[in-house]
Amino acid sequence: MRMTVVALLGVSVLAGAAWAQNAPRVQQEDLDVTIDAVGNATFVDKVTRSAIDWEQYKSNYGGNPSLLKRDLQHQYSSMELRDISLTNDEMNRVSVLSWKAQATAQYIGNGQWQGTIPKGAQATKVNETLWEFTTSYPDPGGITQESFHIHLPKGARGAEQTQNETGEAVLRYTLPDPAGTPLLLYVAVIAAILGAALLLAGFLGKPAAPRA
Amino acid sequence: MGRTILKVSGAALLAVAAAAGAAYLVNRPAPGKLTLSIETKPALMSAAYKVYGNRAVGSGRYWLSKVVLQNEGGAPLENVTTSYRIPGLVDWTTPTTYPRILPGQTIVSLYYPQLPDSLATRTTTTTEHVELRIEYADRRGAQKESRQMDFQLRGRNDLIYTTLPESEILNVQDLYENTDLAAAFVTPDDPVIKYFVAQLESKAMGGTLVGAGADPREIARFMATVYAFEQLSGIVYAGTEGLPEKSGSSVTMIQKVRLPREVLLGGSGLCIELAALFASISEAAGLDPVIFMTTIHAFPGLKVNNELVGFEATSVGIPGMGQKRVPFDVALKRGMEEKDIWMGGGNRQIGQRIMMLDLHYLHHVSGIVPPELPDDPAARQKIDEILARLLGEGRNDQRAPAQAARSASTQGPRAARSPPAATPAPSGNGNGGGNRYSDPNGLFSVALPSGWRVNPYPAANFKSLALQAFDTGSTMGVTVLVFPGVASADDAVARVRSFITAQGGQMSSTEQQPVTNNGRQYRQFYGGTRYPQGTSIDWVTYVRSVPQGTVIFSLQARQGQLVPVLPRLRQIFATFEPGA
Repeated sequence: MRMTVVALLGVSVLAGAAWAQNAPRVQQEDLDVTIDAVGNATFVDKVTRSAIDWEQYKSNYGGNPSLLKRDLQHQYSSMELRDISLTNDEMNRVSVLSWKAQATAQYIGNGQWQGTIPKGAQATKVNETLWEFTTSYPDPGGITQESFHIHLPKGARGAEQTQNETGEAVLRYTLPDPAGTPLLLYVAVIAAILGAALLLAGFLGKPAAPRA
Repeated sequence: MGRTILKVSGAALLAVAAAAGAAYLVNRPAPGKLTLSIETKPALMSAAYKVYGNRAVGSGRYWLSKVVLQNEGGAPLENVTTSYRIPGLVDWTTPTTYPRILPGQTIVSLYYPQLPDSLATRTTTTTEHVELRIEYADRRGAQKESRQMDFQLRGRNDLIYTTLPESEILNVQDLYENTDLAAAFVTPDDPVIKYFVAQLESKAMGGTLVGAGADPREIARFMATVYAFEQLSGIVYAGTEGLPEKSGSSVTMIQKVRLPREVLLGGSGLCIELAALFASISEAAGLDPVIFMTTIHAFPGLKVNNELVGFEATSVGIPGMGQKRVPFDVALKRGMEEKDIWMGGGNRQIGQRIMMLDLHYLHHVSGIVPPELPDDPAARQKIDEILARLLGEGRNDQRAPAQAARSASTQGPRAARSPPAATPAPSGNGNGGGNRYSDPNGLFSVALPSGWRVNPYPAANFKSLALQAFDTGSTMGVTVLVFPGVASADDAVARVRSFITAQGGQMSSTEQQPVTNNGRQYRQFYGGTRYPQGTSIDWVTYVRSVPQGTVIFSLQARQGQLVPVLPRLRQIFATFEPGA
């Protein structure tokens, strides 16, 4: 049996407004994380903003996507990010940032994997491979609520929220070994042993005594 | 018959084994194949060496090396370990073990070097290299890999604003992407800074302790005292010569920034250095300092009652400008104006806003901590000497601290937006005086602030005492003594001493470096006078002798209250014109 733990994310990059707004508001952010069998994941971060927040967002990142990319890489230092993509829906003030992150989940031996989830998050099991949790944090203009949806790899089971050896919150699950077992090799070895034993018995065994 | 069946069955199973073995060999996955992708920071700042060793800072962004290990083969790699060292600085780290890397799996290994405290004293830049050692097992057995990557280890005075290559820089956020590490140059825990603050509070502020939640007027008095100390000890603004410079492809923007202890005892500072000094002293005193950063400037501030107070630390003085120093309340007013401009994004005068360094947050929450600096007895001694000079120590009046504590400024900032003037600023001609006083005997003239009480020749038994003028709202004042025909300064001082002694007082003084005022050279004395009834005066006195006589100009205030008002009094001295 192989056990897997998922290392998940910190705070979203897209939600970070740099300066205060005029009125408190709640900003909604949805982050979808889909993890594959070897611990790599695809992230899709969707943020819907108020008019003021949208202007602020554009002044921060809109004119310099490289800054957004760099902030994202800083925030996810323990992963290797690829295929970072940003689309802005000006009419609906929705931004969607997506990326692929290698080493999102880490294999820790004895069939176990592990990874962190945001501090204070209380994950809820929706089904065997879907976990969700919500966090919120104050930002200069009000509050950002983040909804996380974590899709574990197909075949994952036994998932639980626990702590790693340094006390960080982690989500842990089990997963069949994708490398599989060398069945043909096992068959060959067992057949060879049995065959050899039978041949040996056939050549060395006592002949049946003649009937009187 | 039975033996035949056994032989046939055995042969059949061996055939199956051979077939299965052949099928396995034909179809077995390729062996594991480790590929490495290594990224190493081009340069580290010695001042921030503690930051680089802490994986929790900045979500882990301050690694030295980032190694991405990927298994591009078809079989797992087993027992993969990584270890690092920096020869001469950091020994091999305990290997980090990854039990297995599956085909297609990626591991990210980050190196956060535990650099030695000796970096706090390193002033030069060297090229170092980090060594990486990887061990693992695959189908062939145990494997080893090693790599070596170079990086610059900058001296402790180098502030790297960005390590982005020029091709990646689009705007100021890119150009100053490393700027939060400037917090490492604010050193409230430096033993020298802590000692200075303790001495300042006990000797110049009468034992008053400021700190978070303190009365804003006390905070203002503390700021004014620090500012006055800087001015009196000769610290000046060194101008714009230290602006960040381009520095090749690996480190794009860099600036030499001396640590606060160096500025405190060194005599001059850039804007960022003066801001870091002020912030260090403030944080050491328990206040909540910030530094406002722009593209061309940096100035400090404080968080007082949830409001931001700006302060223009460079007003402390400019070399070559003589006594034309800016009073504390003007420096505060400038700082408040600049803070408002900064909040609005900046302008051409102060530059474009980059960020505000919230020092308490950066030090205690973010983990951007300053270097571990050793104590420096020589620096302590120098602080003692300067304070003794400025405050006329050497006397044994134990009441001084209490007096200073009782005399907290009554005009401090009721709110952060109110400039905390410790005393009313001189007004009038903009040169420190409101009304020009001319000696009736034509021996001198001086511009005095409006509202001051003026007493010409107040002592009938000591005609050399030509003028006493003082502020009715505080204890500060000036005294002028004229000794026609006394060509020796020492003789004139001796006469003053005799007069004081005759009044039952005691005078102590130490001579300092001479100063030049309006083109005339004066000998300079720091000292104090005590009278038995409890009155104690601190003073700074300037003495000029010519063959026709000697003139003495004295700046004074009640003991423990002189330092904050000295800049204002020196403005008055700047207007002093002795007769021929």
